[in-house]
This record gives sequence, structure tokens and C-alpha cells, in this order.
Amino acid sequence: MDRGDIIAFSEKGKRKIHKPGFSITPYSLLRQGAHTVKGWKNFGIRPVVIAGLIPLLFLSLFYFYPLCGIFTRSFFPDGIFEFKVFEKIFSSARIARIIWFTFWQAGLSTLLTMAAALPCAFVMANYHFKGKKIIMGIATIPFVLPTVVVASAFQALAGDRGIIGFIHIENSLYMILLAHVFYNFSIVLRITTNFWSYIRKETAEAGAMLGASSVQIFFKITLPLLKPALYASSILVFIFCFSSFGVILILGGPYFSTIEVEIYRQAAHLFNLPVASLLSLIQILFTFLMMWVYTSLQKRMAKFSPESESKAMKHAETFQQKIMVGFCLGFICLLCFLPMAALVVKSLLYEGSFSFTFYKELFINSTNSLFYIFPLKAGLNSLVYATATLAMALVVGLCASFLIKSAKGKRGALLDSFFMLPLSTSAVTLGFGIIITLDKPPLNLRTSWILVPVVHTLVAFPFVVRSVLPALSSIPESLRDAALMLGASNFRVWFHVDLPIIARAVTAGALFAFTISLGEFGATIFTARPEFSTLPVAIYRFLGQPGIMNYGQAMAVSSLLMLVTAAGFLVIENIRTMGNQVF
Amino acid sequence: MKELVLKNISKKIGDETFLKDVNISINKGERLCLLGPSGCGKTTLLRITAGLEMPDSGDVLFCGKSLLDIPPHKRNFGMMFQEFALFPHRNVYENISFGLEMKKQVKAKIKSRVHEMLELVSLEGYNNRRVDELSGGERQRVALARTLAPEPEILMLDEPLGALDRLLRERLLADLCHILSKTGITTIFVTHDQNEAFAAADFVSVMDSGSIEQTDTPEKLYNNPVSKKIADFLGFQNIIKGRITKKGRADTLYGEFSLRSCDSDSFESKEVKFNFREIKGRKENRDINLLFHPDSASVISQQEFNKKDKDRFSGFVVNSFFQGSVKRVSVKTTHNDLFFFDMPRNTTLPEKGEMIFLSTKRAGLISTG
Repeated sequence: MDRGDIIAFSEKGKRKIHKPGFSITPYSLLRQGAHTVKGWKNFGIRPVVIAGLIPLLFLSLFYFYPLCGIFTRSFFPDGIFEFKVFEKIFSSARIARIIWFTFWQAGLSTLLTMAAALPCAFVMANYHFKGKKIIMGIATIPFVLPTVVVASAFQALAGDRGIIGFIHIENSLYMILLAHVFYNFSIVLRITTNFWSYIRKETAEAGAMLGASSVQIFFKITLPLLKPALYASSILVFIFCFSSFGVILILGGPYFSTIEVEIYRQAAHLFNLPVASLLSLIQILFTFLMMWVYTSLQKRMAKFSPESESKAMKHAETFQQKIMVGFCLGFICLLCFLPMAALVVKSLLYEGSFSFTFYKELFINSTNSLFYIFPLKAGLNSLVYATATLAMALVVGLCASFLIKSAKGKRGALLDSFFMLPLSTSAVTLGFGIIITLDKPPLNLRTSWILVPVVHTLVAFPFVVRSVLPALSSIPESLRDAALMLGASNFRVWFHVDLPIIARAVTAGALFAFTISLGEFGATIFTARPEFSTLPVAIYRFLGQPGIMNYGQAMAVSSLLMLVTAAGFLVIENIRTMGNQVF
Repeated sequence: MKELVLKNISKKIGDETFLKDVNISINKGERLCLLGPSGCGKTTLLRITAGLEMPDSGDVLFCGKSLLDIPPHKRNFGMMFQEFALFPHRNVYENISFGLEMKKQVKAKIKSRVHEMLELVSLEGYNNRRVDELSGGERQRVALARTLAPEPEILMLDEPLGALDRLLRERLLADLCHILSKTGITTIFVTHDQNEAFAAADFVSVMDSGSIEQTDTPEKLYNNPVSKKIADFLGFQNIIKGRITKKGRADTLYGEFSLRSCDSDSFESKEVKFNFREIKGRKENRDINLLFHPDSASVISQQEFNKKDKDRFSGFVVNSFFQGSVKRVSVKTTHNDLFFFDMPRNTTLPEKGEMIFLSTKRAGLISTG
């Protein structure tokens, strides 16, 4: 705002100053307690409470109620407390094997991801080279891709019909591990690189001056300082691999099953709800435990870093350094870019030559089998759901942000982690909980299309909060006071100060919600009836059916979905960095 | 033999010249301060001495032997970094013991040395404190203890007080000087603050844009800065042009002034070929710059003024400020120069706008043109 604007602002405000605080303004909603809106004063309700009620109601109805449902189903399968299911589960060798496999593959995936990402993080944090931002972007895109797209991409690359299909690893553990590394590589890379680049150069130099060789510096200084970042990122990767669903369902074939996949099979194929509930319960307990460890680690991370601006990076000079940088770049391209490229190539390759056959086929409603989903219809569904999700997630997320912002100290932090709970619950568990609870009066949504966007909102609104809350907290109270002193009414303050500042963050949050909804698979496959199928579900069905046409259409839809989510991600990144420059 | 010699050091990074042909030498036990504005290359010089950076040309000699092939961790030099660079994952004890561990000393020896160091910097009992719990001054002292613990041959301090606020700086400066004298270690330190330099150093090297302009004892530097640039950097404002007379005085627009004598030649200012005797004795009519130190004037009456034939001038009082121990008066001279002088605070000054008559002590000689 330049000088002229401020003067104009105060001039405009003056006319309104004579009727202060009479309307219920969104601004007064977010100022906790300070201004009780006049009309409501008599009832003793603070406006922020009204705003807070929306997310609280939403969470209780669509999150806690379904979770309770899972509990009841586990312990009271037929209305009476029963122990049979426990016995069944703990005596079943198959279930025990599944639980063991879930941990084992998650651990191995995490180790492999760390091994792949750490050397790259070293290069990224210490060297400056051309195109670094682009490489970082390429490395990050896999993380935002829908699981189904990742699965398709690996089918396209290394499946039996894939580009390097001759190595025959379809339906093997290698595929799963590779896809997990691909998917989670950027988590480790980004967290560690960021943390590493904040370790001051002087800290290592101080070590050298005190007589430490470069090896000693690495093990005695750098590595201990990186520890929080290493722990945090590895736990995050472990959580994601632990609750991996789409990748294992599609790439693992019938031989591999994790807890998550088993919940789906037990519930959707075998209709064994008590066992599915109990597995969900186990899943919830473990993810909560790990999320708790993760959050406490994050606090430690905040304590250590970043007390200074990131250090100046050097250019690779010696031959050795250049080889290192080159190797890192090559590796990232190979790991992250190759599967995505394979997907696009496969979608365009029909009978040995390039054509748009598969894409054209998407618009033809050819078969009418039970499992067939008309891609165009699924695409429209996806768009409608994503739009509905965007709207709902914004309302819930914004209200939650206002509530968190207005609560002070520990209560704010507590509320914050409270609203993040849906993030630490796997999508399959959410979907499962919802279909077993919201299928009877008083709330029967089983046949309603709204169920899908509701689940998506549950997954997406925490991202709106994460995006909006920092912007909201970044507004100094003095800014609002200054506007008030210049004669702006509460509403005008909100409109001229708060809104422009959080606008970017809200846009980023909205885009997040939209792209998450487009790619969501785990919960959707539970909640969407065949006629309400989305694109990811369509891809899954296509992949599961024989024939080159089905395969090709899966590739085509995946490519399109990849394009949209990647574009969405790039826009979000841009909005965010632009925002950083301003504030 | 000099303990440490930096010979013809030059350093460029990209197109930017950081150091050009710098020479420095220090005797054992001496304290040298590199004084200069930020970006003048003083930290780079320190880092080259430490081995953290390599010079493009020139040599670093320690007791006559070149150090260029020896990596920093084998030089046994100590360096205290700007903002201290304490290890955040180690507590106070572990920070100080780090250098001793690197020397593979036995535990008992490490323990006693750490305690000795903590005592030296008056931080007894701080062993288990986390670094982020310490105040700025405590961090500085832990950093000093950590640097001194392995008994380095040479101690380097990069803006040792720069990260602290003014009040604390003054207090810790005295502590720092005390600790340094106690240990008697050869020290190079870098600062942009002349008070710090004057208080702590045996010799001060003034640096500007990559080269050393003058190296002298603090007193000589203060009395006779060799160039106008240095005088400006030291904050001197009362500088006028003049010319050497037969009698070794300076002739100016205001009349003659006697010059501050200097017993010996300037200390090692090879870059500035400048010799007082040469000027005083033989080189008549040379153009010089003349410096009146802020404390070199006193108020006299008009009669006294008329009686004197040199070392005096007159002007109008522009303003006067009370500054605690002194009164600062700004004077507009008859030739329109604006001078600032510090007077004892009990001096009675004329009102603003009135005439003031001043007598000066011997003036500092700056340079030839």
C-alpha cells in the first residue's frame, strides 16, 4: 500500500467510524474475545465459538463418530463384548504374517529411501549449480502424485508390459520397494537438504580449527546436528510406507498384503467387518504412536534450527566435486523422471507407433460390463467432487485456522494438533469407518454422492489449515491496530488488512484441496459407489482388467492426472515462494 | 625471528579483489589488531592464516616454515568465530573439551583442563549448560575457552565482541584483555571498532579495500594517522591543508601551527613511504594535511588570542552539546571550516552565534597531500 492508499484508506474509514461494531463481521469472528459482537453479547456467545463450531462439528460427525464405529465393531461385533475376533486374529498365521510384512516392507523401504536421498541431500545442501530449482521440482513431483498414478507409472516402466519389462519384476517386492523409494525420496531430500543448508559453515570450520579432520567433522559435528532431520524424515517415510495402500494393492498383486490392503480385502471382498475393524484399530494405534514421535521430533528440530540465514553455497570446482554433482543429478533424473516419462510414452504407444488412440478411447462409452467405468463420466465426477471438496475444505479449514489463531498459548497448540488428527489416520481407515457408521439413520449417506467429497474434505482441510495459519499468524496485531486508528471499521480492517495478506495462502490451500481430491484413492474406493467413481478408481479398474485397450486407457488417464496434479503443485509452490518474498 | 609472517598475500574471488600484496609479521606474544571497515578483507586475511582459505599468491610462514601445505586442523591455531560457532548439540563442557578430544588426550587431563579454562573465563559450574541457554556474553566466554583449551600457538579472534550489545561489549573488552595478558598468547584479532583495537592491541594494522594502510602502536596511530583516509576512518573531522615552513611548522590559512613530534619512524609502513624527519628538516614547502585532535583545543580570551602569533584560531559557536564527561562544541571558522572540539565540562562557552577564540596544542601531521 503506498502513501496515497493509506490516506485514501483513512479518508474512506472516517465516514464509517460513527457506527462502530454493530455488524457481525468476519473480522470480529477471528478476534478472540476482544470484541464480543453487540448483538450476541446478551447470549454470552463469543463469535469465534460460532466459527469454531463448524470444524468441530465436522470432525465429530465425520471423523470421531466413524472411529467410534470401528471401536464398537471391533469389541462388540454383535452387540455384546466378544473376544473371539482377537483370538481369531492373533491365532491366524496369515494375519500375523501380514502385520509382520507391513512393518518389514516399511522398514526396508525407509532404509532404501534414506540411502538414496542422503547423498543427494549432501550435494543439494552444499553445492550451487544451474537448474538446481528445476531438479528439486522434478524430485518433488512424485510426492504429490496420486498413488494410483505412481502405480501406473511403475507398471509402465517395469511391469511385464512396461518399457523395461524384460527384467520381470511385476508383482514382486522389488516393484513395491522401488515405487516407495520413488514416492518418498523427496521427503527425505527436502527435509534434510533444508536442515543441512542451515548448519553454518563456521560450525564445521570451528571443528577444523580445533583439530578435527573432515571425517571427524562429519561424524562428530555434521551428523549429530542432522540427527533430528534424519529421524523426522525417516519416521515420516516409515508412516507413509506403513499405510501405503494403492501402490501395494496394484503393484503387489495378490501375493502381498499389508494391514491397509487387508482391511480393504476383508471389508470389500470378504465382508468380514469385525476383522477389518480390528485391523483398522491396530493401524490407528500404530500411526498415532508414530505421529506422536514425529511431532515431538519436529519440536526438537525447531529448537536447533535455523538461527541464521542459509549459508552461501559453493560451486563444484574440483573434478571429484563435479563428478559428485553430476552423479546426483543423473540419479534424481533416473529415479524421479524416468517412471513419469515411461508413463507418458506408454500412453502414447499403440501397436508399436505413437498415436492418441488410448486418449480417443476415453471418450467412447464402449462396454457395459459391471466393473466398467466410463472415463469421461469418472472425469466429470472427479471435477465435481474436487470442486465440492475445495469449497468445504476452505470453510472448515478457515474456521479451524481462526479458532486456533484466537486460542492462546498451549490451547492453541493443542487445537492445532487436534485438527491435524485426520492426517495421522490412514485414508482406508477413514473410508472404512465412514461406510460402517454413516449407513443408517439418523445419518444415512451411503447412497449420496456427497459422501466422497466429505471424505476428501477430511483429508484435505488440514492442508488448508497448514497453509493459512502461518499467514494469519504473520499479521502483526499492530497492523490491525494501525488500521483501526486510521478510522477503519472492523470489517474494513479485515477486508483491507487480513484478507489481502492471507489471500495467497488461501489460494494455495484451495489448490491443495482440489488436487488432493483429484488424486485420493484409499478412501474413495470404499465410499464411492460404481456410478460415483472417480478417475483414480477408474485407473485401478482398468489396470485390473485384461486387454491392451484397458491397459492403455489406464496409462492415458494416469498421464492426464499426473499432468494436472503436477501443474497444481507447481502453481502452489509459486504462490508460496511469492508469498515468502512479500512477508 | 618473527613468529608469524604473512608475505605478499593476494586473493581474488571471481573478479573481486579481496587482498592485494599484504604483508604482516608478529613477534611471539604480541597482539596485533586488524582494523578496518566491513568488506576490507580483514576476515579473509584471518581465514588465510588459519588455512580455511588459500591465497592466490604469497606465503604464510610460521617460525620460518611455510604453512600452505598444512590443512587447518593440523596447524594448531585457534580461531574464535564471529557469532562464536558453538556446537549446538554439545553442552558447555563438551564444547570446550572438543579440541582436547581431537588431540586424543586422556579423560582426566581433559577434565582438569576444561575446569581450568572455565575458571579462566569465570564460568565455573557451567559444565552441563546447553549452549542455547547461554547469554551472549556467556557464549563469547565459552567460545574463548574452547579456543584456548588446546593451547594453540596463535589465537585468532574474528570480531570477538561484534555480536554483543554496546554495554556488554565495554565490560567484556576489559575481561578479554585481562585473559589475553594472563595467557600471553600471540594474538591476531579483527574488528571494525577502533576503541576495541586501541584497548586490546600492541599494534594496529588499518586495512582498507584489501591492503594495509598503516601499522603502528595505538598511540602513534591516533596521534599521526598517515593518510587522510585513515584519519577519516578513525573519525577525525578537524583536518585542514597546510604547508611545511622552514622552522618545521605548518603554514595554513589560519596562520602557523606547531606539529606533534614523533620520536621514531613509523612502524613498518612500507606501503606508505613516509618519514617525519625528512619533512621536518629538509622538505620545505611540501603540502600536508593537518589534524587537530578533538581534545587539542582550549578556549582563550580575545586578548590572549591577539597576543599569540601561532597555534590559535577563531570562529563562531554553531552549537554545543553536553556529552557527560565532556562538552562538545562545533565551531564555524573564519574560513568556513566546521570543527568539533571536546572541552572539559566545566568550561564556560560563549553563546550560540558568538565568537570563540581557541588555542591549540601541537597538531597531528597527516600526510603529504
